[in-house]
Order: sequence, then structure tokens, then C-alpha cells
Amino acid sequence: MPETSTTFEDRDGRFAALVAEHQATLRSFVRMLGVQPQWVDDVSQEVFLVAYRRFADFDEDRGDFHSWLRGIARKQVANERRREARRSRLVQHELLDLLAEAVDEDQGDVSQLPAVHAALKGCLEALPLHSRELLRMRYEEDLDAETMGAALGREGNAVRQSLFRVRELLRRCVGGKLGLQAWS
Amino acid sequence: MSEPAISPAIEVLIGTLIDGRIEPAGLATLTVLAREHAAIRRVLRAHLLISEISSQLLAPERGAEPFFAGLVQRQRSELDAQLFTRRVMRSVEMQRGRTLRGATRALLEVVSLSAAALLMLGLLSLSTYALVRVGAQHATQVGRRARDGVLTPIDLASVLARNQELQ
Repeated sequence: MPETSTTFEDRDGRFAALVAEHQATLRSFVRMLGVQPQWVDDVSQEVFLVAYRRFADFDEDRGDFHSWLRGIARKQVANERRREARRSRLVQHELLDLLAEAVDEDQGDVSQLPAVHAALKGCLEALPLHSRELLRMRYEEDLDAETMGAALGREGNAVRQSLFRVRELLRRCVGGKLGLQAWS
Repeated sequence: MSEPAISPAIEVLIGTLIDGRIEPAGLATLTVLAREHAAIRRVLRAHLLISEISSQLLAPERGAEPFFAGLVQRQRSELDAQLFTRRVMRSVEMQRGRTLRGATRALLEVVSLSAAALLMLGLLSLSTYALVRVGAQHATQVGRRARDGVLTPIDLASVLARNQELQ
């Protein structure tokens, strides 16, 4: 990715490599904190911009880059919450508290994020065709449940339930692959 | 508290939160359930995570490259904004410097003009004084010569001219 390295090479080429390494898991973490899907990339980019500005403060001997990023992400989300109490880049606030607590109560998931990413990729490929088609319509075509329902001759709620069950299949598949009790 | 099985109603609630727009009543119910049951929190969190990763893997605009492009764009905007601010500050400082230099130059011009004017005034005063002084001396001498009866033709001409002026 020449553009990335051109921008960062003057300051610290290493930062670009760290972005490449951690962007996917950071975005997943941000989503787990309750950020709305359409704002996940935006908030994650803000986290990297803050990290870039403070990169000189990052002490490799005292912690890994991803946990440092997660700390920044949590602050960003908390700031966002304070700043935009009425705008909804975040899901409802009480639920957000619960999601943040859930991150704290089970650090196992968070530390396994890269492994979850890799496992899920394999699990997606192993899905039955009709389940993959549902996910393709939902994510690749970015259709909502009602539009998908209209195309498939089903109710929106039925589509949401089907999507839930496909994700359940994936959850169990990942849990089985990684031996995560909470996911099985 | 025993962990509830994820009922179809809960599936729909979680599904609506993730794949649709959940109504306040549904959200309140889900919040209560999530608060009371760790299993529901875990499932909710896992579904958020799976949904996010699926989106990153399947949606073309959510891949690593568009993410990088967006980040680089924002990084550049930030740098551009810093450069712009620096440039504006520099031009404000230059403007200030230019104004100061301009004011100094104007002041110097006023001072030098004033000095020249003062000099001219001084010279004028001196020459007026000299003329008056010479005129007075001349009149005294003419008067003295008239009293002594030794007026020269020039004295006479000047006295006549003076009388003519007075008339």
C-alpha cells in the first residue's frame, strides 16, 4: 500500500505497519464497545490518529500496542458519549455501559481477537450456501432485513432471526475452533 | 439467577439491535435482560463481534484498503490543517511586522520633514531678523547723516521712496 507508507514514512514507518497489523481487531473491539456499525471505521480512524499523535508516548516495554490502542478507544468512546449524548453514533447508553462491563468481565475474548478473526474467516467459508447468501446480501450488498425479506418473500423479523441463527452457527464454530467456553 | 435459553423473542431483539432499528421499548427490554444475565451479555457481545468481522470480510468498502485510504485521507487533512494554520500565523506575523515597519517609516518621514520645516523656519527667522537689523541700522545712519547735513544722493532716494510708500 504505497499511499500509506508515503504518508507515514517521514514520521515513523513502523506506525503504518502497526496500523496494518491491528486495524481489523481494533474495529471489532470498537464495535464491541457499542459503536454503531456505520461509525465503527470513523471512530477507529480517530483512535489511530490519536495514537499517531501520541506515538512518542507509547512505551513498548510497558505494554503491547493493541492494549494501548484499546485504552485510547475506550477513552474516545467515553468522550463521544459525553459529547454527543443526543446524537446516536452509539447504541443506547445504558446498554453501552453493560457492553463496556462485558468487555471488562471477560478479557479472554479481547485478548483472542486476532485468533477470532482468523477462525471466523474459516467458519464463514464453511457455512452452507444459503447462509452465506444471507450474509452476502446483508453485508456485501448492505441490505436491511426488510429489503432482504422483500427479495426472499419473507418478513423482516424472520430474516433478522435467520441472520441471528447464522451468527450463532459462526459463534459455535469459532468457539469450537478456539476452545472458547463462552462461545460454544 | 439461572441463565435463560436464548428464546426466539430474544433472538429477534438482538437481531433488531444489530440488523435494524430497535424501538425504545425493545431496547429497554434487552437492556434489562442483558443487565440480569451474563449469558445474554456474552451472546450480544459475540454477535456484535461476528457482525463486525463479517462486514469487514464481506463488504468491499469495509476492507483493509478503504480503511487505510480513509485514515490516510484524514491524516493528510490533519497535516494540511496544521500547515494551513502555520501559514496563516506566519502571514499574520509578517503583516504585523510590515505594519510596524510601515509605522516606523512614516514616523521617520514625519520627523525628518518636521526637522526640515524647523530648519527652514529658523533660517527664515534669522534672515528676517538680519534684514530688520540691517534696515534699522541703515535708517539710523541715514537719520544721523541727515542731522549732520551729509545726506548722500542714495540716502535721499531711499528717504523719498520710503515717504512715497507711506503716502
